[in-house]
Amino acid sequence: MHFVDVDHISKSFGSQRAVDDVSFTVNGGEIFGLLGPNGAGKTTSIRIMLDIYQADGGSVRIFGSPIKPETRDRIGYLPEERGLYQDITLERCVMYLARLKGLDKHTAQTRMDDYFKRFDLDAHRKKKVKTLSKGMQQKAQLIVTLIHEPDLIIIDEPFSALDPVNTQMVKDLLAEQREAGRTVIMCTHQMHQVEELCDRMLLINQGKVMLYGSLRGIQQQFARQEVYVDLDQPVTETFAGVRSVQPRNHGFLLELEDGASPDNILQNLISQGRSIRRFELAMPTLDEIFIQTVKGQAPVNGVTMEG
Amino acid sequence: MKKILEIIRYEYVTQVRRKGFWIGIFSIPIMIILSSGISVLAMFIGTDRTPVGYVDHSGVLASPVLPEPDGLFGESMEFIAYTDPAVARQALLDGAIQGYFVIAENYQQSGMVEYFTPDLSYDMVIGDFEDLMRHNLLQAYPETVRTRFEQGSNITVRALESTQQLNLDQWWNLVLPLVIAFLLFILIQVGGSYILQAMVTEKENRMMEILITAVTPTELMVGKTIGNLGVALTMLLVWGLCGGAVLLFLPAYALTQVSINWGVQVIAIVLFLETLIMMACLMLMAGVMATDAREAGQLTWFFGLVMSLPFIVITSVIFDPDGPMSTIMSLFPFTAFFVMPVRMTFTQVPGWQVALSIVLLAGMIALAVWLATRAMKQGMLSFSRKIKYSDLLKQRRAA
Repeated sequence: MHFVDVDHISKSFGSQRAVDDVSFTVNGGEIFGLLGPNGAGKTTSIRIMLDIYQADGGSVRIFGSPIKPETRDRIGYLPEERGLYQDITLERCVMYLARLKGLDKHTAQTRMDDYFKRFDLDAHRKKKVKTLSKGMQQKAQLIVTLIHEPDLIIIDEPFSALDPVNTQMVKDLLAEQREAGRTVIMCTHQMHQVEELCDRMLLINQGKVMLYGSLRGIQQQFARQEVYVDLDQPVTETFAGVRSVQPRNHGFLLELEDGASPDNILQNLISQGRSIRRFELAMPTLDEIFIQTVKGQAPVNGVTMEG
Repeated sequence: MKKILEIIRYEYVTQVRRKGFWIGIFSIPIMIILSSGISVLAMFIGTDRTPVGYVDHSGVLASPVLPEPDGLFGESMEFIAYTDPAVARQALLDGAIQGYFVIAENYQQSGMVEYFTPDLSYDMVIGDFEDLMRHNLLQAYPETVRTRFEQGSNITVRALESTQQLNLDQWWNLVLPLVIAFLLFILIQVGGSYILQAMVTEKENRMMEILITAVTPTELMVGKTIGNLGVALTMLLVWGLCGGAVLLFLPAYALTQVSINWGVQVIAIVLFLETLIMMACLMLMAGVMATDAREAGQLTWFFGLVMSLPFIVITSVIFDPDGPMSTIMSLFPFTAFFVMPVRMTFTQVPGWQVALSIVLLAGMIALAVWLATRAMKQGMLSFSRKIKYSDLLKQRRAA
């Protein structure tokens, strides 16, 4: 059973088609990246999933059934437009939101204490939220999202405006959630974070699905006929199977001729007696795939796959 | 239900913990008491106690008898008799007296009296002089006649077909419903403003999206409304307790003079609670539609204005409680809570009109809830664009 099953959802605001026939599934225990440029329809899709918006068409099943009031307590949601009550103490704010998520007072208190210690917020618990730094408030928002130990965590732009230390903290936390068997949907346009964390991903643009599948599968589909080599001696000219040679970082990027395989190139280099320090397929970065796909506008053939 | 209770608790405690709440709760009665006290004090301080002279050519005050003092502070004015106006004038110039009356020889026929004073402003001493003259003119009559003449009649107005009655002598019983209506008006305004602020705070703090993934919009609306209405009712309770405490210090005689028409009060409370709920829903609607406090104010000023109308027409309501304007305003949902109890104090309001005002308010509550729900759906995630009233109607047509 999929944790999330989104089936052909569509949503328009006036004449603007925000989400257009989007389908995807999210498996239990994975980090799923929901990607797209600003205004692509990511947030609208999430709001439909959470029953904040009613879809014009299609359906959503969470934990195997349409979302119900009791399902809400199994979901932790950190929206892009997020905030906290500014005029009350941090402790009261977190406690109130934890209670709204269905926790009893004792459990909420225990978990809050643990999180405050872990995130160095213990000394600030009696302070009004408005007096806390932005970083502290972001930590508190994350605590509010996770305190009820949800089975499904949906985080919209989790790294926006975070400094490197807090970014790493969030990444560690998300990885930890996956290890604990929880499912995370991460909505972002920061591709390098997706490459680091996500198992599978969906790229939407202008409300339409552009790419969908496992990260590795998508990268392989976009793989170029290139290999990267780092040798003891420089490659000064082309050789059999190599169309062009370009210096890249400490090594060389070899563009292969049509029909040539990386295996052949490797064997060729060994037969030349060269000492090979590094040899790898030149995989495109997600940034490159993103730009290429979004600029191309149309869904890319052959890359929609279940991973 | 657990979540609704949690929201109620949060809303209530958040407001009640604020210093501003307690300042507000006590400042209003204190202001009323202070303004009344200052008026009385100003009257006392401003009253010139310098003696007053008189020159009596009529003989009415040949053997003057002073009336019993009946002023607020129990003092009586001192009158000094002069035989010659020139002497009285000199006394005035010397500051020995604050003015002097010259009573004409044919006073009993003409009533002519001249009062000489440094300036032409109306002087409170004239009232005291009138009392003195009346008292002395009536000396030939028995004391009971004198008393009745000086104190006037004790008129009770009775409605022809009911047990309702008004004692015009007991002015405080006529003013009491107005004071209560005024306090209820303040409570409705304050309660509504708390709800408005609570919704605006959610939007300003960007909390709405987090909240509605934890609770349903209905749970949120119900919790916020009840929590903040509880705050308004707490104010009512505190004011009631303060009023009760004041009554404890009044002499028992004074308490017997206060008559409360409990039937009117029950209707007043029903209409007040209905109006409070209606305003709560309308404020909640406006709070969701606005993006900040300023916009919320723009959306709600009209409600406050309409609810203030009774203050403008209150005299007409009192003097013509069965007139068309009084009747319409006692049925109109925004003014019924004020006008209906006042009308009921001064006239026998037909039962169907009382029932209709309650039903109309209930209908208005249903409409307000419906509008608030519409606004909630449209406006809860609209952080940068104010929802207009026309947008709500557009959605209604589309729905």
